[in-house]
Amino acid sequence: MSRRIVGLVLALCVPALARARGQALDTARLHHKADSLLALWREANVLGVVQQRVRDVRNHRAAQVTRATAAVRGEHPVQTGDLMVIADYPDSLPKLPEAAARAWDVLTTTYGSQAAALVAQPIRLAVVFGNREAIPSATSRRVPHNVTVDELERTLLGMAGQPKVDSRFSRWLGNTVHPVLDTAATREGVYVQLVTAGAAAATDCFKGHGDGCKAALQVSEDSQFYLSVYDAGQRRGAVAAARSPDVVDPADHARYARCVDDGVDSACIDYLRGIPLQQIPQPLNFEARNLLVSTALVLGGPGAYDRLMADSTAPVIARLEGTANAPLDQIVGTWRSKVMAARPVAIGVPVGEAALAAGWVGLIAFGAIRSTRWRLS
Amino acid sequence: MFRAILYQQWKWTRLIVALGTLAAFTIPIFSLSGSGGDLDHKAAARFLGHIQSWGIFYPTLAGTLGVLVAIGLWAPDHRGRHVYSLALPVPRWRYVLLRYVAGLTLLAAPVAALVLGAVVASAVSSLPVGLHAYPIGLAFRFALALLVAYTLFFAVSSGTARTAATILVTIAALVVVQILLSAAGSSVNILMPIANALLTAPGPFAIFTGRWMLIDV
Amino acid sequence: MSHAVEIDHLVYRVKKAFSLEDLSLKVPTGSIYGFLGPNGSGKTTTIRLVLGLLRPASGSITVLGHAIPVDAPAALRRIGYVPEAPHLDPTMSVTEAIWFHSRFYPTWDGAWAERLLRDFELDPKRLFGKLSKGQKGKLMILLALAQRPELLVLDEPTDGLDPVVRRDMLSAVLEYVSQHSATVFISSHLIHELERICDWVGVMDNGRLVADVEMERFKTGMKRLKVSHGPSNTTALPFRVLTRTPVGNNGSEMWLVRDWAPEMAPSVAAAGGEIEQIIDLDLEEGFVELLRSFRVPKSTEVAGV
Repeated sequence: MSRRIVGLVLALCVPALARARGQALDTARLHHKADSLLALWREANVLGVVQQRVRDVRNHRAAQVTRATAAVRGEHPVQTGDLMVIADYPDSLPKLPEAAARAWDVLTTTYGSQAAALVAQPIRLAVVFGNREAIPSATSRRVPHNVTVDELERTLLGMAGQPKVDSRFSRWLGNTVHPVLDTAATREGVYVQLVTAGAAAATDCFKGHGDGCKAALQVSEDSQFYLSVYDAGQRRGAVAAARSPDVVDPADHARYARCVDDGVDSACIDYLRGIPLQQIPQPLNFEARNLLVSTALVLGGPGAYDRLMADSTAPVIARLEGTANAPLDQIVGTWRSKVMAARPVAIGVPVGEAALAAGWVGLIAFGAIRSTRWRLS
Repeated sequence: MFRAILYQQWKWTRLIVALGTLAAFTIPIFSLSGSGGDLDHKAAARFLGHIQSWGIFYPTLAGTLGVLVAIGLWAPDHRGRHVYSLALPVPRWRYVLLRYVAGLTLLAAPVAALVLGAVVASAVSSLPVGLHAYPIGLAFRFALALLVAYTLFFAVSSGTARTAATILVTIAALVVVQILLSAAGSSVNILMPIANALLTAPGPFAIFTGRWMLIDV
Repeated sequence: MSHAVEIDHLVYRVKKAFSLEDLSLKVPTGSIYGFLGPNGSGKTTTIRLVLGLLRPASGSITVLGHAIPVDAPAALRRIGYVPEAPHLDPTMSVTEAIWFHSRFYPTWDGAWAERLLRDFELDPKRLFGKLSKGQKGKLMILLALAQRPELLVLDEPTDGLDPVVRRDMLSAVLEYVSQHSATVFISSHLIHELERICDWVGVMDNGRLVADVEMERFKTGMKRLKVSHGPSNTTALPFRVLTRTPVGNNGSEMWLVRDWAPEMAPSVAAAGGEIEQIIDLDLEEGFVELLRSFRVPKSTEVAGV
């Protein structure tokens, strides 16, 4: 009896033991596989780093070659960081070193480590002066010899371009991330947008409500933003502004008429739901959102841009907070403070302008009164 | 003496001054009357655009009034070849000063009308949040522009007919030369630098090229 | 003798068209000085220079003790001026023109102006541009007289006016002069008019002063003398021979002379000549002959001044 039971137990256990052994073997195999994968991943990483290094070296060598070639040609490139600018008549652009330094500073401040990739190739400029017609290279950008340092900086930044961004972020932002130049003018422009947006959320933002700012900036990426951004009257206006002339669907037409002619808000909402988002007027434009991104980048300091682009699947809010290492309320609050401080100068006559006009009046009047040419002839 | 000259100049220019005063009062009111709209999504933006489109009328009115009043002051004197003026027991410089100040006195009416019209228009309009009215700033710029135009053409008109003719012939010659250059295919532009010099600081007409907005942010 | 107007070596040029050359003239204070001359002789130009309306090239002008044009405003305060062409604002009424003018003259006599307004029968409400030529002339005289000036400068004030208007205007002037002892400087080419009122006469021709003498002496001193066997050189004679024209075949000549007096007849005989006839000239004839003699070339006959 006992032998039969032991045998039964053994018979029962063997498969289990065998399974366990098999499982143990599988686990071990998996572990081994994982280790292999890990090793592979590490190898790949190293390889990637090596490849990047090779690219860097190649770029650096390329830059060296370019520099050498340029020297041979007598082109005298201007180098600031990784940015190289070659002007065919550098003596005619005395502001070039300053503009290049400023442009590189903007690129690194905005894009961090990704700035170098933008300027892998030298930027070529063809100086235009007198009646010069021929441009030596099709890739050269023409610049007048009397270009200002601000204009030159903008030209260099324009030619450097911007890094690509993922589609989700691009959809929200409306473009790639642009460096913010002429900060005062940009903030002033956003201020004017807040005032003239014609959106309840923008008005709330103007009055100091942070939620209004978030809604106006559409950071929540809500596809039905028109429910929170506009009031009923503004939705009606948005429908009128968004109407496509090619609408032939009778249902659409009926909804449009009920919204615009009769002022039925539910009809407006239905209509707005049925048209592409791009056709619905946005309360604030790209400039405002780009300024928000710029604010986050500044708050985030070094590495901010890399953090912004680290996770292309994350929501915009999370990405901004990760970029700035600060909550969204702080980012939006900082953004709003800067915009409100940039209220355009009140309409009036500047003192200098008034003094100039008065000076001319005095001069001309004095001349007329003291003139001795008024005689009978 | 001043009263006599003021009265005489009022007789010569009253129609111009009256029409100019009426225009100065009504332009701000008209500029705010057709703005905005219920169906307009960008109400404030359109509002500002509408205001901006009316902005051209202010410098135009200032320039036109200044020129016409200045010329109107001197035309009768020129017709009489200044005999009467020169025979008066007043030094010439004082006579010219009296005429100048009398003209300024008359031009105070359109400036005051602009202030009144701008204040009334701003008061009766409901402005979108964030927009403000600047009636005094607008009127001050208008007054300065009017003063510059009036003074310049007063000086030209008070001179001899030969002086005025010289100035006009010079201007006409520049225009003709530019036309000929353009017709010959030349890219030389002689009028643009002159216009820039006159219309931008420190030129005399810089005051005309500022912001002529009754309403703004 | 003091002078209300003193012009000394005055030169004025208008390019090549016209010039006043070395003009010297004195208007005695309290006199009525007639300024004669044909059209274009320089009368109006001289008047405008005197008033400071024009600037001379050289020379000096003093009016009522004031240097012109430096001190013209002070002098003009004491001068009543009636220009050649009325120059008031045509849009002003008579009343307005009087009011405007009065603002500039502290010595304005409103009562006198009112009286002249009635005497001249001017409609106070009528616009200056709507007045007739005579009415304009009267208004100009009114303005000049109501200032109570010390010097009246009248530039052809009655030119083109009918005799009645001329008489009214001149009567007002004479009345004023008699009451206020003012000096009058009046230019005209109407010689008969000036003959009746002027004490002194100055004659202009082509920018030059050809005569500057008392009226009586000018009138009585201009004669034609028919002279036989007259001396070839007349410089020693006490009167001035302006022209000599042969008449007949017997050696007689017709002399045009000025500054003649009857007691000068023996001087001709003493010079070997004989006066056959003395012909009187009225002012107009004398004026015409004077101008003619002035224009004759020196090589042919003895010239004027």
